[in-house]
Amino acid sequence: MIRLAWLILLLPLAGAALLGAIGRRLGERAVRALAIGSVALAFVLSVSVVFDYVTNHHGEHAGESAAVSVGTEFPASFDWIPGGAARTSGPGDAGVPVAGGLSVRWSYAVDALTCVMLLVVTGVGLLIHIFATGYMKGDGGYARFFAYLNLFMFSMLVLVLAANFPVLFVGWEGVGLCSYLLIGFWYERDAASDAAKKAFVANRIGDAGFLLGIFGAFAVFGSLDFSAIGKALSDGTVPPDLLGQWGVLTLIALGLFVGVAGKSAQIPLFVWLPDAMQGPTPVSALIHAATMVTAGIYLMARVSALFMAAPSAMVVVACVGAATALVAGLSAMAQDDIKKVLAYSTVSQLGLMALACGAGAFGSAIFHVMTHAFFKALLFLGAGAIIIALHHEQSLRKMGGLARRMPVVCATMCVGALAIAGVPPMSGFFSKDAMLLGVLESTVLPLELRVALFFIGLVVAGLTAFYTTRLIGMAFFVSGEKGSFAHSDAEAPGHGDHQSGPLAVSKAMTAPLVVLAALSIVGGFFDVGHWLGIGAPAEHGGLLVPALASFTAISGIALGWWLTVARPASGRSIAARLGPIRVAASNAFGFDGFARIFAIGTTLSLARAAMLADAEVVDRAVNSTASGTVNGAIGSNWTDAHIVDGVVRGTGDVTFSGSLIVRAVQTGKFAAAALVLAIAVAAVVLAFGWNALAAVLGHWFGGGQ
Amino acid sequence: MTERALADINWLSIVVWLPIAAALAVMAIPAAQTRAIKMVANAAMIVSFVTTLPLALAYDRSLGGIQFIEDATWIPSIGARYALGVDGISIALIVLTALLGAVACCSAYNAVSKREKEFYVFLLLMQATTIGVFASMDLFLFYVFWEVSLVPMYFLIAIWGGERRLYAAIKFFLFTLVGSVIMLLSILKLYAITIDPATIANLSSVQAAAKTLCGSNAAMQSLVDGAVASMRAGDGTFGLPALHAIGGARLVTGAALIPLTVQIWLFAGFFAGFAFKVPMFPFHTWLPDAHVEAPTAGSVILAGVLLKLGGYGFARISLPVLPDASRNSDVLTVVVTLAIVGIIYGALCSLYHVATLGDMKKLVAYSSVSHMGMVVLGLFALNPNGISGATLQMVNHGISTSGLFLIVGILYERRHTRIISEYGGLSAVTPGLAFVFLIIVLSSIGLPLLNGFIGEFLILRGAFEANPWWAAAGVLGIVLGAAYTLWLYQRLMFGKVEREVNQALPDLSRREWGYMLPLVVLAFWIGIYPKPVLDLFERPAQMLAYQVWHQPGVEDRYAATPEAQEKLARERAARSAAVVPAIDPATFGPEQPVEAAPSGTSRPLSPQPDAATPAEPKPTPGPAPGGNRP
Repeated sequence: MIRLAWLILLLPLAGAALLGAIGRRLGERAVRALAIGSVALAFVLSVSVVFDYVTNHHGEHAGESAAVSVGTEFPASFDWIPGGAARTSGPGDAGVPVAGGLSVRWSYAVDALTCVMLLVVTGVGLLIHIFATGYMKGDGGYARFFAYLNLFMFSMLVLVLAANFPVLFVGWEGVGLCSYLLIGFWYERDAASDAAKKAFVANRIGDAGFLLGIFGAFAVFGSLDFSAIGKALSDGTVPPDLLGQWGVLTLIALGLFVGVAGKSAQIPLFVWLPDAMQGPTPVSALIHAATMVTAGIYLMARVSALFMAAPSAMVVVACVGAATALVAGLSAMAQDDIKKVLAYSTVSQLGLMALACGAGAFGSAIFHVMTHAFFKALLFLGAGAIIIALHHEQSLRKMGGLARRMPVVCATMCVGALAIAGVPPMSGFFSKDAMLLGVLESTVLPLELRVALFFIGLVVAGLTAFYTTRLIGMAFFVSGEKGSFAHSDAEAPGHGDHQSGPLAVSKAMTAPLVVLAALSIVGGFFDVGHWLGIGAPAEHGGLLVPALASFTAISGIALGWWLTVARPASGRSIAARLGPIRVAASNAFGFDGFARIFAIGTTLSLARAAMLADAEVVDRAVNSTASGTVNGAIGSNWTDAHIVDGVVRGTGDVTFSGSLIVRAVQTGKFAAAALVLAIAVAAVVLAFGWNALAAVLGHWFGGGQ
Repeated sequence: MTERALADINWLSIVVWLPIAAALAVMAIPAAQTRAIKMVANAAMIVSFVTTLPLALAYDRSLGGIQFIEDATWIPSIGARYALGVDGISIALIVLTALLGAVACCSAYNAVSKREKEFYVFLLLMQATTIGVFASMDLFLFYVFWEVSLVPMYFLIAIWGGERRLYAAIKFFLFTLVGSVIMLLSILKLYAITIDPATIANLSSVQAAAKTLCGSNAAMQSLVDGAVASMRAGDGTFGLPALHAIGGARLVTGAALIPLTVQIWLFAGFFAGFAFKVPMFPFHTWLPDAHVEAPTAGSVILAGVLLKLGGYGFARISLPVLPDASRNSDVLTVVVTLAIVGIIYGALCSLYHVATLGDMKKLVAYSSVSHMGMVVLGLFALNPNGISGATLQMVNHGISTSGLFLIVGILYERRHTRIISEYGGLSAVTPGLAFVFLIIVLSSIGLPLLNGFIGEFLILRGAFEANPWWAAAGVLGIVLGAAYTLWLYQRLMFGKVEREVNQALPDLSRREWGYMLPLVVLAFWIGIYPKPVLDLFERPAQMLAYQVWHQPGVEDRYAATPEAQEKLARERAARSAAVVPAIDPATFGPEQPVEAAPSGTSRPLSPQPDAATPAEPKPTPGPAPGGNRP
């Protein structure tokens, strides 16, 4: 069964190809069947592969590490980028011994980490596909949407099944492309296509670092296979001068982390993610919450051995992660757009995961990737249901009192909120607890840093509880006294009768919500962190950390509820009193403006300068040289024009293109050109230096006598 | 058909001369019968493309070296011969040339509506001369084809171009002619070397070098033998394999047969010829003008084929004939700096044009400067990955940039403007075009599973091996490339259709699909399964790296003899175990002062302590018999 793993990713690819080619001619039913069918099959296959792995393979390498993968050779492997094999001279060969370069095989690996990601990607992906069939109903680009979505599944599966860096990079860029296409899905909206481009370019900046990290890894390890790199590190065959405080491995790890920062939205590259909410909500749920953005965390877990060998890089990862979590958590409190709240919340949670990775708790980070996929997908899909029901209204200020009108959505979203807030015994409680514990008991970070980062993590947990409660409160429980959502209904003619009645949510949309809610409740009992056995998983300590975490979560919820639902007036007055701080938070503390003004502005002025230099300096030098020589030659131009012209005229008739040449030459420019050429050559030769010329000519042609 | 059988029936000559025969046939048709002219020309192009395929299929990859050799007397008094031959690198470029010729020809079907006869004649001549350049194994013949190839392009721009076509055509002609005339000086000096008594006295070292190059390739060996005989007779030679051998030849002292100073001067001359053609910064200003004014078919050939002549020249002449100059650190610094400046500068200029909603063709032209800078960076990484990546990237650039020019041409045919602001929102109106354009755009920015990625990945990996900073500078170009290319796509395809005329823009016609699809298919093929193509370059690229590096006195970086590997390992171990913390950071660079290394086959028995180190600015002629001028 496990050898069929390569089929998992071909199914969505086939779906994407079919939908892209003939989707426009199919009805919505057929499109739905194709899209869901391919992902469902992939899910079933994934389950059986994981089952096979767990029953037959997991732990067979118990002596070494559970992370050792099972065979990298699958039936669909092939030589992808042959770089030339090294060979010594022999018969039938050009007689030259040569070294080879980098060669890349297209190969897959299945290990525990892959298993977790496979289930998350195909499982959550399937649910979101089902939801999307309801959400996108009636959209003109229905088939196109599912073609992109299936293509995304393919890329994401390549990413998690890859056995080496270049193949992973294929998935990495592929999900970036699909993200680009799906953010800009409603391409007629300028904001959407701008956001799409921003996302791609921000990711490209990360990819630049990622590529350099890959090349560095090849230079050090002589291979790009994850298993070979892990083996080299565990065998200690890496020369000691490459390790150490700021050794080569640190640079490699930092290069990879630049890529992580792009994909997993860390400071300062996170600015694309809030904008990415321009995409349809199922896209936000699948790509920008559950799967793609966690690819960076997955990457760090995948090469955890490398990161563990680069302690300085780990400090950077942990600090950037903590800063990201804090900044985004504060920003999420000040957002009024329901999707923006969730977007900043995602950035914040990704920051926590990066923090855990930096502390060496890679397993706990992946654990949180899994639980986060459940409850964040749930929250996004719930938000999507609201947005659809309110005819694309996204402002929390115009919502309120929806609890009665959308009971299922309300109940499931409350579950999601409790889970993300980390209330025991919901899933988020366990994974967040594991991460915080991992930070506190980290073996790679210095003590003071561990304590400081732990408290930042705790604060972020409190912020999370607060802003989620605020979201739930504003959407569902604040009484609609201002009647804002009534306004929005009134604006859409023909929907006024829904004023207070239940809002219709199709089954295709509620069913995934219910499943995800169930997963959000029980997900925490599947502690994959320990099962993976990567990095340095923290042992379950005493009750202190869980108690602190639960206390923070519950007080965050209480405060949030009190300020938004119970005493909204005091909440508003506090918000007003915060003034500029609140404004700064709502603008993500200026990172976006900084990127816009500094990075983009500088690049564009550089572009202007380059073009100016091209026109005014380089080209002008050329043109003035040319015109100078032409003017100098004008005296002899007459002769040249007549003589050359005459000769050409005489022979022109017998050549097939005679008339053409004559016509081109009639202006005399051709002759002038020849003259200019001769003079220009002389000028260039002179420019080399008269003395040098004399010396060289002597040396040059002297040898021939 | 095996390679030998094809060589026996002079297949390469057929490939080169068939377009000229077709041009003659077109000339025989009365000018008024435009339909017949188009049909014949298109058919000829397709046949020409088909004739190139056996080269790629029959090339003996395990033998390597120059194959399909033809050799005939041409101008005996100066040793110039009609010698043709190809290796994997030339084959790939020949197939690309023929493919783009057919595509360009097809794309001009409706676009060119004046003087069709001459147009197609020039197109066919263009094809023949460029294939001739790639197939020449005689420097004189190479130069003739090189120069003649300027003429058809000059007329294509000057007659069928835009408003400022004469200015652009003359600029194009002059620029490249200046470069090639300087190159001619170097060619003449090379010839002078072949008739130099000092060289003739050391023919045994040339023969030794040739033996290593030719290995078991008997046809190549006999080509060199002929050239050596001609040199011995005092007639000299222009034969390229023989010149490669001369470049690699070492005197008994270990010194190069052509001293380093002379090599550097020769390199400068060839550099002028090739850098103008590539074009490298700052010799590029002819390119935007030429592209803007050229007709679509002209732009396709110009970007897809003509620019490759420069890159090909580096690979065929500069590196193997002048190995000591090519790996000289000063030379490398200059060349690579210009390449990197070109990568970033070209990208910035492209960004400017999309930011100001300017001319699409200017944008694509500047992006060519950027992409070709990448090619030069790969070539001068001087290692197998870099060289084969650069060669592949030349093919890729031919596919993606020609594709972009074709798309600009398709839009131009419909709206008669190339200004970006005239478009917008076309995705909704022309979904077919949007799809093809997207693939070409993604190929151009190097998205994995499309062709551009493989080339860029190999180039950057090669550059990283040579010097990590080169790769770090190179990736900047990738970031900027994504920015301007996607921005262009957004501005043309996304948003609302704001201009009334664009509402009714027709989607791709069947003919347009016909010539765009091969490019799309190739982009996917090379991206997903590049092995067949990369296998073509494997031997030639390794051979080039070997030719550049495998010299006595140079660290044997790309010749994996067991001893050399052992020595490298020893050195590395010594370095990491060094008690003294003095690790010279400069050892990462390509130049390493190396103690006498017992690795090369042509080493003297007792190594000279003062064996010429490559970085040394002065030549060390050595006490070879006749080595000094009287």
